[in-house]
Amino acid sequence: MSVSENLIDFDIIESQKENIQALPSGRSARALANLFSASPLQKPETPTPSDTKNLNDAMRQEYENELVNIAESDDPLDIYDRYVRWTLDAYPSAQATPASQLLPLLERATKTFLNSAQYKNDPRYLKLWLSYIRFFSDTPRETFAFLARHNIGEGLALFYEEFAAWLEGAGRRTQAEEVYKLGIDREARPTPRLLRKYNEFQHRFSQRPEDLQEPSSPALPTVRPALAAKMDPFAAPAPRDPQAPRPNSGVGGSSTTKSGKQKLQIFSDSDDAPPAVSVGETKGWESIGSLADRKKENVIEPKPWVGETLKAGGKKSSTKIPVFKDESMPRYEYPQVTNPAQQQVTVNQKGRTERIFVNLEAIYHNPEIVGSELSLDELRAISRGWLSKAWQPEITANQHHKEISVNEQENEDTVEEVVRAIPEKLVIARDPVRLDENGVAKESGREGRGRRMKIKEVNETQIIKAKLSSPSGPKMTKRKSSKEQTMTLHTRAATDEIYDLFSQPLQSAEDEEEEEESDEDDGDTTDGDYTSGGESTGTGRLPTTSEAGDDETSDVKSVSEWSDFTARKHIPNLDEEDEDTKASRFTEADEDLEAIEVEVPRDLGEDELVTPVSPDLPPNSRTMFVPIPPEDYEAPLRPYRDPSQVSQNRLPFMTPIAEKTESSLGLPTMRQNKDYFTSKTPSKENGSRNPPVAFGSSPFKEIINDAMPAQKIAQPLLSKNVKTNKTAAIAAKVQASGGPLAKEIAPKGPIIKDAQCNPVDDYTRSMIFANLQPPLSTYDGFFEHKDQARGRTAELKKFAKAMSKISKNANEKTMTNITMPPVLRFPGTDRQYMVKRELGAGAFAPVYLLENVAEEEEDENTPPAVMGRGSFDAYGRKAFEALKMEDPPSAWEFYIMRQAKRRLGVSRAAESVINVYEMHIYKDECYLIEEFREQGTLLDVINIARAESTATGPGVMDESMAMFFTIELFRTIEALHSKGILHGDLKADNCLVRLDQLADTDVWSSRYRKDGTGGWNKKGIALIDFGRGIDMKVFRPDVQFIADWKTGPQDCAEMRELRPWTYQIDYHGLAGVIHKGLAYKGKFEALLASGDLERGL
Amino acid sequence: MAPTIQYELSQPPTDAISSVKFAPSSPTRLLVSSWDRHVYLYDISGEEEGGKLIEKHEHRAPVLDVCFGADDNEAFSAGMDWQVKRINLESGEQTVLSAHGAPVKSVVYSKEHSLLISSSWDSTLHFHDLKNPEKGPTTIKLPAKPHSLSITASKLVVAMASRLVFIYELQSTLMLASQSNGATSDLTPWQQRESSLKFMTRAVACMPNDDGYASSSIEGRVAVEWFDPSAESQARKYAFKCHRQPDPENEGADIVYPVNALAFHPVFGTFASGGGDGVVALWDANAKRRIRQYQKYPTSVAALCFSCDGRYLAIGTCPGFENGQEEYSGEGTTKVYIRELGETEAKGKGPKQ
Repeated sequence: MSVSENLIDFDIIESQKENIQALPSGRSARALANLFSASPLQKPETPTPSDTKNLNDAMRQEYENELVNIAESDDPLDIYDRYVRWTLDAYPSAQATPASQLLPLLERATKTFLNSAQYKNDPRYLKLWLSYIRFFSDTPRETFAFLARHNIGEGLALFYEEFAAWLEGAGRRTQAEEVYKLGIDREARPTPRLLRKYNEFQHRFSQRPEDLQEPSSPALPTVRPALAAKMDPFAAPAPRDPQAPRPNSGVGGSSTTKSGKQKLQIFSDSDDAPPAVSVGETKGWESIGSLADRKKENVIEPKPWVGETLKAGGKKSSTKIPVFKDESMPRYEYPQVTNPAQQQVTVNQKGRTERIFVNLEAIYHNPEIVGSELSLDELRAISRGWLSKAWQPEITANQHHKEISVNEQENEDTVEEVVRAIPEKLVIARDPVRLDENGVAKESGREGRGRRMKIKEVNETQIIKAKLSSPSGPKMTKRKSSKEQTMTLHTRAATDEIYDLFSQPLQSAEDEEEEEESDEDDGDTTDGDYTSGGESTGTGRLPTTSEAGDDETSDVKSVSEWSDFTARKHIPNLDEEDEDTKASRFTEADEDLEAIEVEVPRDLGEDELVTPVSPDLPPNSRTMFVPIPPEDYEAPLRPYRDPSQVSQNRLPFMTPIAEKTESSLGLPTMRQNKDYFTSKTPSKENGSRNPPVAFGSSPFKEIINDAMPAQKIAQPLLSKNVKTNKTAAIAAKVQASGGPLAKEIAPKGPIIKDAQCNPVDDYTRSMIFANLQPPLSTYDGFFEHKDQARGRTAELKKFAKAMSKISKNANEKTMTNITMPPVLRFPGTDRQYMVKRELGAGAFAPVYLLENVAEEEEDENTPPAVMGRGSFDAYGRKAFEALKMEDPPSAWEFYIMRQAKRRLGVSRAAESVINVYEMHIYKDECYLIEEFREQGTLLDVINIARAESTATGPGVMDESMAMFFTIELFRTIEALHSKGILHGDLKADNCLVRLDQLADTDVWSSRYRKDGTGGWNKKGIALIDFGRGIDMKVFRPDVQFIADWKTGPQDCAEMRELRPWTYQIDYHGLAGVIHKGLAYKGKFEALLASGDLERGL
Repeated sequence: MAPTIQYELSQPPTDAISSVKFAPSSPTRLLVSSWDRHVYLYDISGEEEGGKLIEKHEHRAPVLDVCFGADDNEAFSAGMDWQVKRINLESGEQTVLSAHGAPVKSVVYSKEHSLLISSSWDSTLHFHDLKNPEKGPTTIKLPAKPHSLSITASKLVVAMASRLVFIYELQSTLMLASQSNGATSDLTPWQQRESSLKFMTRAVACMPNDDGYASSSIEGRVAVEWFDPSAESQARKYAFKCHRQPDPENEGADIVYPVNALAFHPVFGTFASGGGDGVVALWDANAKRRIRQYQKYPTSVAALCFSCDGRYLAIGTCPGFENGQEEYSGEGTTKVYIRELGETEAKGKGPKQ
């Protein structure tokens, strides 16, 4: 062999030394070198890994083959021995290489010869065990003990050496010593070696400090009987090594250390016989078991999941807060229901599911607190709110100590409770709406609560201060007691005379009404809801009618008397004030009237409460006279009384402070003047007031006639049509109409329920119209012909143009065309109108001047002062009126104006709104006939003022005049707003000047009187053009409007900025008007933009 | 057997019923207390169909219990307004006897002692010694909220929350109370027991022979116990399930209703139970058997009472609040039925053989 071959290159091995398991017997360097050198040159000699593997497999196979025949082998151990050796060689790190299969091999080997007596003390076999222990055992001690128990290697010093060495390594020196001693005792061979090792050990032992931590248990633990090693009953008496010490039989389990022969470790105290062999079966420890077996606890055997439970969820943590324990009472710790949710449905023993009906979670709402369960009654009480009340003791008759204060407190409390409990009900209770919305049941329920109130009413009346929405129907609340007062105050011989005169014909029929009238006429007229003509003094409301009314008497005589009367009526201030109908005013005469605390009548029935008045006035600062009607009183709902009736039928203080109708019908003449004012709005004639010549009894007849017709909702009676001195006509109407009041109930709740909407769009409007209660068609003067087309617009326009041309050419003598003025006649009325000329044209609607023509008369014969016509219905209309034809046709303005009038009732504010008389609506056109005032608009006034330029520049309106108009405007708008009406288009040219003439004998006091006396209530403004009006009542109380049309600089800031608005629109308009009037200097728009005006407002 | 007649009162209360009580001497006179804040007095003796409403007495708040007093003209009411009131049924006069700190749940009257006892959700009892009316009531504190009271000639049973049951001996309690004027807080009861029922006690009723009492829970069970503290007697106590109906939606499932009312027949000693299922059943306590069960009423049974001679049984029905949601608007479904019982209708059947 070459040197190279002989000398193995150690480097090869060196590099692999970690992978080479050290063997006690050493390894063949050559083999290793061969194994690890991968030189291709040596290929045939050094197999590659795969080759190696194949080779190994082959080799292994050989061994296996040998093992197959092991039974016939003389030395079966040899096969294993060689096999293991080969394995160790072939796999340098055999123990770490599963492929080497060393472990199973060792286990096989050791197991095979476990019970073999032949090999018990065979060093080869022991070495197998030792290899196993060294490489694989997890518990060497146990294995050693096992070996000991099985007497394997007990005669071999190797065993003891290894064992002790291990023990020493484990720090168990004492035990190691034991083992050494044991081995020496047993004279295990080679004994000298053992001794030597022992000495070395002791030497080591003595040098090292004592370690006290040693486990003191015996090296070989006592084997309990149950665990006693099995004695192999079949083991032939082991051929004892002659050198081995005789087994020390007997002595039970006492000294196990000595009894290395643990043949029978059966504990038997009394047994000193050496029943080594026989007695007792020893169980356990037949085998150590393979390592896998031993490790089986660490492996969960796969089991089918059927029936297994997964632990899920955590334990519900109990409350951290210590449960309060009331120590005062003895504690009774009975088991409680702690988990109500789980108890709700259970399965009982029979398998039947039981569901508990009651809601356990509601009852045991707090299971941790013992005793917190709620009884069913408590649950009911809680849900109804009874448990949140605190109760004061009730005072009963038997109580000796009447604690009034407590009582009052209690009342207050209960009242408060009531109020608290049903706040909105209280309010609603007063809203007639409630009645219609809710059925009986609700009412009775509320009644129950109302009863509660009733009890308390004994003690105190509830003062309800709320703004009542304007009721649907006129409502009279009166006091009978006032009757006397009034009568005493106003008894006047002449008055009585006159009334007697006038009341003659109807007295019989209307006695009752007279009564009522007297009641009502007790100077009370409240602002708001006094719409029936009867009560309302109708004073200045219809300026036209006042005079006319005054003048329209049944006979000449009466005329004069009436005139006298009118004169007289002004004498007492009281009259005027009463006439003025502004209930906010406190008249001296009223001092007898106590302040009214409006009691909430429990069954309002169809009645509504009348608010005493303008909302801004503190109710308590003045006593207000709130007339309360007699129980069965039904406010009359009749159309306007003919002004002629008014005068006759009213008590003096209720007659309007009317001016005489002006006889001058300077209409045509005024046309020229009109041009001066560049107002575009129709001016309304200030009522032609010519005293009618002959009325005859027609007024009365009319009243009767009017009493008959359909139940139309009267336009609020501006003028009184009171018969004689009593309600008469109104009452008649009441009688005849009976019910309408009941029907005139405000819409039940808002019609438009949107929180935000555009109030003027068509959809909203049509919805409102559709849901109006009472419907629009029942309005007096409303005529709907939706399906018809009238088609006269063009004609009218043409005519108007022609007329304008004519007027322009008036100075020329050429009459180009004398166009026949078109005459309009509408079904439903017996009036005929002749279109005179165009007054103006707005964006949507031209306005024409109309002249009333009577049917009987020729069309063209139009003495304007024909007042006494039968055709003049009760509205007190005049010869000249205005016609507005809105395109596209809409009844909106009509509705709004009527509502405004109705809600304002008889008041100064109502006078400041133009009357609307008729509305004829067709498919293509609509004709709105309204009052005509000739005096022009505010804009005209402003222009006039401006025209008077002074040195400093364009003139402005006189300050006091501006103030005056401002005040009037404010008053009007305020009143409108309080009734839920927005004008929507306030500007100077939508305010007509209303400077009605007083009666001849009246004096317009030079000093302004805000209460309207001294003729001041005849002066002011009159609003027109409610085309953009908004009725707040049909919306929700908290509605917000959004102007989603194109806004311009003239619109209020909110609209321009698309912010929601309601009343701001009018404030803005107001601001504009005032600004225009007051301070024309400066840019209006800029001021607006700064928002100052509005904020100020 | 004579056919039993049953009719309903023609003018029942308009809201839920809390209690029905017959007069002590007149078998045709009864009081009904209701959540509509009234106490109704009826007379069923006349020929009038549906009985006659004599009077109704209004209170400030729902009335949770009512009972007769010394005679047919005196009544006491327990109000949600915390007050215990005496009502003179003839004059209609109402007197406040005492006020608790919370709604008064029950009132019972002991004619043997002229004692009116009221219990309230403020966890107190008020003992009103009516022989000395000028004295205020004696307040006895309870460890928990009382749910129900029942009284015999000598004892008072108080069933409370957290499954506590106290039994007071009236005589000694009264003596103790009279000795210490004013509130006696620490009067210990004669017996303190744990309820035999796992769930909240709904009602208790005492046997007329003063032997024991029956109690019922919200979970369809009735327990019968005896006063005698001896072990033997105590061993006799038992409980049984009742007022369960098959669940219409669930096959094989039952709905368990609360037993709202218990009433003992004054003569026979049997008792009736009324449940949230609208069923009234008669039971023989000693025999531990059910005697009969009446046809289901349309709504839950809220109150039961036998007349003093045992001839009539008054059943107050109204939608209950069992499952915590009340859709009961207060009228229409409240009814009081009067059932005339046959001679032996309520008689026990004797023990099971």
